[in-house]
Amino acid sequence: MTEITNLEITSKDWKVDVKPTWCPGCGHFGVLSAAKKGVIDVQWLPHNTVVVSGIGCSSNIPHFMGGYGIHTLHGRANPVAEAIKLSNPDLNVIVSGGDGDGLGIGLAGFVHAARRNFDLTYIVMDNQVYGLTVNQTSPTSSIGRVTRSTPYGNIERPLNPIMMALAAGATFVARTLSSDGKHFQEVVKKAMEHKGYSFIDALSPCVTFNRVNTKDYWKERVYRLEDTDYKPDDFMSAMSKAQEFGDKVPIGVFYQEDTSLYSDMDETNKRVKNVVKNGAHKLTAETRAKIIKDFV
Amino acid sequence: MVNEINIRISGQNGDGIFSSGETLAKICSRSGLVVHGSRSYQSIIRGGHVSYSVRAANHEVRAPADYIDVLIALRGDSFLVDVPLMMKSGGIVLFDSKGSRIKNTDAPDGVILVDMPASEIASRFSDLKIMMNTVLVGASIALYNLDLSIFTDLLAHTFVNKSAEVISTNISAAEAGYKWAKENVKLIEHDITFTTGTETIFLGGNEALALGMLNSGLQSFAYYPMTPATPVGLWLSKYGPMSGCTVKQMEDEINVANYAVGAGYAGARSACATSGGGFALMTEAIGFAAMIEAPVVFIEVARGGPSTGLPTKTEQGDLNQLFGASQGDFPRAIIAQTGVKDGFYLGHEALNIAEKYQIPVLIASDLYMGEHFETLEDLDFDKIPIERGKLIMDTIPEDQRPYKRYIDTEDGISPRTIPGVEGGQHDAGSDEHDEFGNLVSDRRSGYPEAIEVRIQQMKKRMKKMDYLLKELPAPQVEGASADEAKILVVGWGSTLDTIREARSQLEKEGVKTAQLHIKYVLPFHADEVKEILNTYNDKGVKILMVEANFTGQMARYIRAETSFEIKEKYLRYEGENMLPREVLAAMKEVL
Repeated sequence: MTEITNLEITSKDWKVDVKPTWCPGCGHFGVLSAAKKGVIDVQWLPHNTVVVSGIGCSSNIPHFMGGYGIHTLHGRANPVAEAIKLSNPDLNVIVSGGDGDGLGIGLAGFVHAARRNFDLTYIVMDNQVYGLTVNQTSPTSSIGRVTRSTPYGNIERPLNPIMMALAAGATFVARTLSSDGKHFQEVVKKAMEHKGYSFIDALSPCVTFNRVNTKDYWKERVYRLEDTDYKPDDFMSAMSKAQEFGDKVPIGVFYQEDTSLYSDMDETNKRVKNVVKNGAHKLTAETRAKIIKDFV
Repeated sequence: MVNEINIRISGQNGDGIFSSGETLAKICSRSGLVVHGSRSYQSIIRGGHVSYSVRAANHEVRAPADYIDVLIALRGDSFLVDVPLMMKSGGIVLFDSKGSRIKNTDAPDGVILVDMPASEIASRFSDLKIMMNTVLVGASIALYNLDLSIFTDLLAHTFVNKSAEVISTNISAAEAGYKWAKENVKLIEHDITFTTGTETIFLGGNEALALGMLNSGLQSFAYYPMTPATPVGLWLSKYGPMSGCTVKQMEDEINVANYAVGAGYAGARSACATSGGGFALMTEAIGFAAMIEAPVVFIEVARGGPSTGLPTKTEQGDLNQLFGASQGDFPRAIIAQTGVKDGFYLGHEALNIAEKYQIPVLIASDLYMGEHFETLEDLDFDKIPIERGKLIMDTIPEDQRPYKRYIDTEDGISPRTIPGVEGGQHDAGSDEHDEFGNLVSDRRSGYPEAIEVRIQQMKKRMKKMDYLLKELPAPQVEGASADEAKILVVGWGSTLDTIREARSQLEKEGVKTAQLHIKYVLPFHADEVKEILNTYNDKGVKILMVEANFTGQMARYIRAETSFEIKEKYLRYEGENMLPREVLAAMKEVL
């Protein structure tokens, strides 16, 4: 990591008065803390940053984070974020939400935002349970998990978020652990710096409803890809590595690729760069004449 | 002696009907006429039976024609559909029994059948079957003695990117068809004056909305293909980038709507379009737009419902859905498009209202409205200025931070900052929130302060409706006063000109008529509408509701808002375009 000296933007700039409403000990505190450090590491100005979230416990994060926040509908953070980024590509946009929000109801939005390679940083705060609706099974719940909606045990195979992100075409795919603040900060910084769609599967235990996948559960299983000779530059290796999710759980960057951004290739943006900053204008006489010519 | 041109070309999907029809329409437009073009088609790519009808005159023609005078019949089915339903004595059918293998040519008495060797003529110039259309279009314009050079110029313009040979072949085919008709058919007597040198834009209702929005500074448009709303997105996909508007096809209408809200929130003038089924998916986001006070225009071009319904047929059946869209009470405008030209100005107006009031604006259109075409004389591109309302782009002073995005104001509209504006940071939340945007829905919920906030914010948002109502023009009666009129016809949206024409036909028979047409549906001028209905009713004037749905959705709304029940209704739900003669018959029935 490059050391940044003479910081212009400090935690003071990102200070907010709203206190998190999560349960004491919730994994999401770790995510919030790492994300707040991340925006300072990459020197993002609060007024040039938008935190977009869906609905659920984790989706309350914009209120605690600072910057501009938009707390959208359940599962709709990605399309809202795409619009913000395409309308004003100068903004830094973070997308956040839970596993139910992003991998259940919002799956289509996530997959399509990823394949378009919008420059967004998407953090899924994955606790493998629906918390705010009080303990139901989620798309990432493991088989056999007993929740209020699965009193006889979950019989659905869990979705693999890393494979999903890779298959969708995300150009930065990583996993980290909310209780490992240092690792999270490193990963989120890389994700924010990445030009393209960055996906982070953030393992973030629910202390109230998920007594299986706890902080200790993950601590026993995770290992850092950075500590191995794994290189995140090969798609097939990443797909293969992503399947490792049992006694050993890799964390770190699975895959990273540099390719063209949607907002750079968009025809309108190629012409005016930024439609919000370009402003709302009437048709010029020239464009008007061109259009009329096609319709007479 | 006729004073209008009424030509229809019909055949199968894939026969080039629409492009031939559009060519006919443009020939008429370039001959200085007012033109109305309408289509009939089906939800298949090949086969079926499709048509394009052109109505043109020196006078205003803004409704579909009651009858066809010249039918170009490319297929046998033209004799099953167009001839029996739309033709009467004196009408001419141009067809090629041999080339098109048409056996059954039954027609009403007096219809003139012209069996023309169009295929054989076309084969002299090209092996392409489509060349037959060029021959027949040439023949049809000869019947009205339209100027052939307008057609040949148009062919040169259409095929400008093709080889000189393609152009000359088409021109030769057009000339041959024109010549054949002049030599073999008795020409139509008319008193229409043709003038050349006019260049009038010829657009569909959907495209007119798109053009209006683009001229009003539209910066973001999103859509998912759905008939009959798709042309709005297709038109903007081509022309949007020329004028600073991004256009995004999304993966479904849920994400179209949320995308549109995101763009509005970010400070772009934002719109999206769909039809009934897509709109059903969009509804949650409409309440979201109202809650975070993001300006967005939602265009709903209705087709026949319910469910997938009649994808290529028209209906005004989605009004209840517009009223019922999204949970809870929130401010919104519902405006019905009443004409193609109206759509051009409505595009401006809807974006202005959305931004000034920071609300969702819903435009109610339908397949007939969106997919018929008219010449738009004297479009005024400068008539309606771009109004962005209380949009703050400058840095917020220190003493106003943290910023109260949802501050209570007299008119309920709070000055709006957008991401990028320093000091304007706030949270825009779909949950109930206080003036800063902080939630009151979680741990504060139920506490006295949160209850006060809830009441304040609900009132703040809903106040906008009162101010908006004052800005919108109240509906006015067209035609005879209550003392003179025998009948008052009430309609809304796309039927404006069809009802007008039916009235004018009745007026010619010496019956005085009046018309009340609703464009601004929500907020509603209930007092004014009630006053009009009571005034006419008290004088014994018959009142007839005309709308294209099964239950009389607007009539029920008027009753709910004014307590006035319109008992006589002409309701249509079979999906075809409403014709003036059909409205006339309904009017006569109640008299």
